[in-house]
Amino acid sequence: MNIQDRCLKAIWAFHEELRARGEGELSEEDVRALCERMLPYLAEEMNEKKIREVLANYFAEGPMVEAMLDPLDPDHGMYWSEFYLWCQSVSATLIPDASEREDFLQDLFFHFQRKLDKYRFQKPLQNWAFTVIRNFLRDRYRRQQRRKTISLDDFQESLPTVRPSAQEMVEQKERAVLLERMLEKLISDRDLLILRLTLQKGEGGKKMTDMDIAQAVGLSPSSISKTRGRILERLRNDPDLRALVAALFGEDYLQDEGE
Amino acid sequence: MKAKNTSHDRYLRILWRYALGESVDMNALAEAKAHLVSCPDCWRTWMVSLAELAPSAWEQFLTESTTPFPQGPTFAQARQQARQASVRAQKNIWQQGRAYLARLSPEKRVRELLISLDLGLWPASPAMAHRSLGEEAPSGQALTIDHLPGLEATVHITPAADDPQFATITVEVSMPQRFPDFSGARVQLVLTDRRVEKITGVSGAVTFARIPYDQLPDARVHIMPPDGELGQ
Repeated sequence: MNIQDRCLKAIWAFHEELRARGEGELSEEDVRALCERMLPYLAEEMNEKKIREVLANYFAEGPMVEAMLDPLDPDHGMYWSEFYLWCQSVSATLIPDASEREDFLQDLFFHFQRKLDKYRFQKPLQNWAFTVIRNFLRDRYRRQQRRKTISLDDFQESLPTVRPSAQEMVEQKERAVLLERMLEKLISDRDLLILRLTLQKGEGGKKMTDMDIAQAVGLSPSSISKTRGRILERLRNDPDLRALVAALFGEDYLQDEGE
Repeated sequence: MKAKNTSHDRYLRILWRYALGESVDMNALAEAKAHLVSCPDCWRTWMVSLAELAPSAWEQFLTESTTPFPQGPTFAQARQQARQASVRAQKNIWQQGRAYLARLSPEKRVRELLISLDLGLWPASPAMAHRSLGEEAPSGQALTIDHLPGLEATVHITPAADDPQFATITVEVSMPQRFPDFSGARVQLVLTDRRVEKITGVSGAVTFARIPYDQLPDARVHIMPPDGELGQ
């Protein structure tokens, strides 16, 4: 079966699911149109699961993404305006400094405008946007670190503290609430627990096996192995991340790891 | 992402050790929290490290603490909307330009034309040369609508000869496919307090005399050609 036939088959199966859930029906013409619109995002080597994912994402977000990509679409400006507001809200959470936040927001928004045509519907648009933001944030942070020729950290510590403005005080209170919520989430975050159990040494100075971690976390050893492998691979391939872990958790976390 | 061994890093380290489930001194933790919310650099570093080390928690946290992500119609909804728009478009096609709005049939025949004298004859912009507007007589004005299929209309306004407080409005309707007989078009002059209707003769022109000048800014001319299939 070629990719077009596989796509049509996936759409008819999807259509049955929609009908069963009472979420509308597609005519034969709609199915053909959907297949035609989706084909540019599919590849012969994709398995059925992948095709199904692209289909679900395209079905949910295809019209909006295409309107955002087409400057002549009547909804083009509206969606980008909504997207800008979302970026503004994300920037406010990530960047506390008001002047830096403004630059960050502009750069991030234009970055999205340039990148959107690379989105292939393989994951929901919001998840893709988070990946873009994560990479953008990391690259920007690294650039800033490289440009720093003199560290003012030591001087700053000895300087008298400047009293924050009323607005800064309100923002600090908001951040304090956010931080509490974040820490609550982190304590129960499974990835982080696996990271800790992967890196720290247990009794007798030995690191825990996947089986031990699986028992502690309540997952199967194979999924621990997968998550663990992903973490270790990132630590091996990303010297900056490795340095960050070493700086934050201490060098002992990384001993004998990934060698 | 390399952290230097300053007090900033010590605070971050305390927070991370706490997040990783290790026991930390509660006073030190409170101090670290207070520092993080007041130090923009540390907050940013915390966010970067959080995104790197606990991406799913970071995403979940951002989802909950930001405005909702933009959402458009599904493919099925977009198709439905397009079909409805297409049905609406088949019933009426609207064409608008400077000072006029026209309703056209699907065969692009003018069903009715509404002309605003205010927008056409008293423009806010002085760029008179860019519209079909010109001085016909020393104190008169003319507005021509010539962008419509199968119908052209010109409105002339001239001061009344006996009293400059009043104007004479002449509307000329021309329908090339009916040449030389332009009769049967209904022309209404809509003023603030009344509506006057006349039907064109063979020449296609009708005249409305003694219209007070002060009513002209609110006046509309409504033209319904004889084959406009009104009401459909």
